[in-house]
Amino acid sequence: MTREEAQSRLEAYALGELSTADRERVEEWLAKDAALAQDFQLLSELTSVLGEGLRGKPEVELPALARARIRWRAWRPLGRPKAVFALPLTAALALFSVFMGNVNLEPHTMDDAAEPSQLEPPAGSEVQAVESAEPLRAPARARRPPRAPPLALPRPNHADTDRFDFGFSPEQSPALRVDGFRSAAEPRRRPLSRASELGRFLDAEAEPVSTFSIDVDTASYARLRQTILSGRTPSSADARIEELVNYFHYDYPAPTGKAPVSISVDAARTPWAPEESSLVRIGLRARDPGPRSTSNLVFLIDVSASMSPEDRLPLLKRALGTLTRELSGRDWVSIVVYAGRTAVLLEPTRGSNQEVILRTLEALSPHGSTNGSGGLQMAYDLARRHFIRGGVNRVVLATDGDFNLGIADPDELQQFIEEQAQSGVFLSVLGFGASPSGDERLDLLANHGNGNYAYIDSEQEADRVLSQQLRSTLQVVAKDVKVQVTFDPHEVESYRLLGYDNRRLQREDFANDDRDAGDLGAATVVTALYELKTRRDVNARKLLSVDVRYKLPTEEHSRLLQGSGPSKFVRFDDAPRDLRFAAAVCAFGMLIRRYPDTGIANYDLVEQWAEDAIGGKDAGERRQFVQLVHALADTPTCNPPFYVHNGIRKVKPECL
Amino acid sequence: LDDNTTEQWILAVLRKYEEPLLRYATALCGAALAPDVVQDTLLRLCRQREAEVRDHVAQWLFTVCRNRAIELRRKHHGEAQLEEGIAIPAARLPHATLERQQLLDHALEALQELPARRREVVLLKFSAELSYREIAEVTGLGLSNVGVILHEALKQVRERLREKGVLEDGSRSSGELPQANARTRSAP
Repeated sequence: MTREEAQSRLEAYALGELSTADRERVEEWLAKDAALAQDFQLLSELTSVLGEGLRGKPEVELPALARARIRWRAWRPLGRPKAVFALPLTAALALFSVFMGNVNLEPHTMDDAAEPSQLEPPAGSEVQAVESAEPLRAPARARRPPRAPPLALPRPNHADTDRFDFGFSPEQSPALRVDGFRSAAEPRRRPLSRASELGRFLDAEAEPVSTFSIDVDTASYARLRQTILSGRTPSSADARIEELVNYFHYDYPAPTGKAPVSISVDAARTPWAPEESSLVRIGLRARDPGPRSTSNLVFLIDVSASMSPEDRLPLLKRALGTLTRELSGRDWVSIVVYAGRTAVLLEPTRGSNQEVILRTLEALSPHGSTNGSGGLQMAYDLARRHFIRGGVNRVVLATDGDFNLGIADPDELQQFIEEQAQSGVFLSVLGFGASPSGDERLDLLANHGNGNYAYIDSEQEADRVLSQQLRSTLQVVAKDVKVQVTFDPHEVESYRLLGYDNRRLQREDFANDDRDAGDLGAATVVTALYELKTRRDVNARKLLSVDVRYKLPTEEHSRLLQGSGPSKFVRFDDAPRDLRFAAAVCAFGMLIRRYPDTGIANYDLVEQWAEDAIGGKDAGERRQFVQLVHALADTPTCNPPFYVHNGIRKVKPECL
Repeated sequence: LDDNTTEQWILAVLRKYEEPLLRYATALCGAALAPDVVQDTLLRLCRQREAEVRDHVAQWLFTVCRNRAIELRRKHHGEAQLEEGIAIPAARLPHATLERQQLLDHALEALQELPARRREVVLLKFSAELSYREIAEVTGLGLSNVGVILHEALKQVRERLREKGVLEDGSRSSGELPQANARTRSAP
């Protein structure tokens, strides 16, 4: 090697690009030629400083939205449905503006649409046309549709988050290994109630104490409404009476003392059997603690193929969009999707980064199978990792319920969910689509996961649950709330709890703090109705006493709150409007649920009772209920065509 | 299961190449378009079969990134010629001595005077840390050409630095030979 050649190879030598032989020869020259060695020293300094200088943090970051798209794509790399139409930028912007405006939107898949269908590995320096996915921001020269709102640039997500470990697989968690949840969920399992016991009167002497967990869910009503409005006949499983009753708002006095809950008790004659029994209404009202706390929400979204219909994924996107628009810069949102597998699409992102969240949601499209997944686990892990002390920490599961959690056994699932709930992360279940098998599963999840369950059948319902009542959906003020009613057998002959069929607890569960129960959100009201047969005209105050146990959200020991019995009995017609309306809804549920001993109740009477009680804060919803009953009353079949009176089944006169 | 490992692979690629790609794209078409370019590059990677790309992923990424950047720049700025617009970013060395920072500043200034092609090769070498072979594939230059270009470029920079008196011969003879960059890599 000549000196010239050695000199021309100095750069390659400094950069480690020489073969061993060449390297040795250059080193020989460096050893014997001082001028060359000095040049090399300068070169080394130069390469070192250039390397350090040019490898600094890039001027820009990859925005969270781009990251979410890449994860979505990586999650479903090949074998996706091929794009059938291309979506130009302007159209994408227009559609996006429509989405922002909460207008009905046809399902489309932006990300798929803009993909080139054929891609070859690029070669050489040839400029190759690469069709772009939707750009992250509107380029300066791009023409915008005239009415599109100005698009704020998606700011990079400054969340100081760790890189997430995407390596979770169901195999890693023994609890999640079994699959086939769907098939194993049958036969149906309703804890603590047998069909034969359903709606039976209990002897107050033998069993003077009745205990149950509160249920603030409203899913059953929304599902039932959907069933009826679509012209189908509801089946008895469609109605959870307490969820129907609790769908509506009743004005109980707000708690005034230290306790976050108030208890109200009143009573009236039963409208369906005024001669025989009385109704006792127990109302709880949770405190309104003021503005919502900082929230750490993880959206766990089912994107399996069964989510395709308009009332599932498309509605889901709009519903979560509604929720997202309620959030502020103090809140954090992450997005996890699952179908065959699970992926984190969006790391915790500030609620003020609405566009990023909304567009990530918008890009979702239904896809593939529903084989086992660790979605729940991943969502809980994410929520825990970004836990906000004293804030709202919640997994928001959105699904049609036709999913597979990877846990076959309902007991095992229940245990898993209860364990997760103990970490302080709560669960909100949003059900979509009318899948009867899913309903029960989702109810079970919410019951045991410190959760609530709402069924979203329309944008109005999404607005109700995720906007108007968002604080009561998200913010818990009392958890594990149990009610225990003690009857005085001298006064009460027999009684029955109307509804709460799968929420009943053993007497000893009341004081057992390990026993999970329902939670009360901010300003939530919850109602329970007892029907009781008294021995004679009695002193109303002595009939019963009500105890409530609850835990403060951050505590593990329950507190006790005591309430007294009703002050008096009144005739049904003289009862407060709210009590009359609750009774009407309750009777409606009892009819659908085929409760025995419904006296003279039928849909026409229910309609009448309800119509007389329209008013208050939710008059519109009450009016809608009346229409719903009317729709059912109009159906030619009597459902059921008989009633049971004192144990004797009698055919209703109108059904003869 | 295949999908699962592919997903992990893509996420690993994202972690590793996100910043080098952003730097490269920024130099090619500016900070405003760079995130789009990198997004599109990685989305496109998601459509590839892992087995076909895996062993030359850096080369694949920078090639697609380059093509996409040029295409977008042409679309938005109407400049097809690479010559006019590859920008060497200003850089700070947070923990360096003033002397070293000055050396860097002058070196970058000198780089700015190089023809665009040479600047790009320098960037691919120092910012993206590609090998000569990878640079050759990305830019379409011959392998030996890459060596020549880097040699010429760094020589030219050294000369300019000497002219400015930043690198005065013999003024920095203190200390041992810095060997940090003489890493061994498989030779071409």
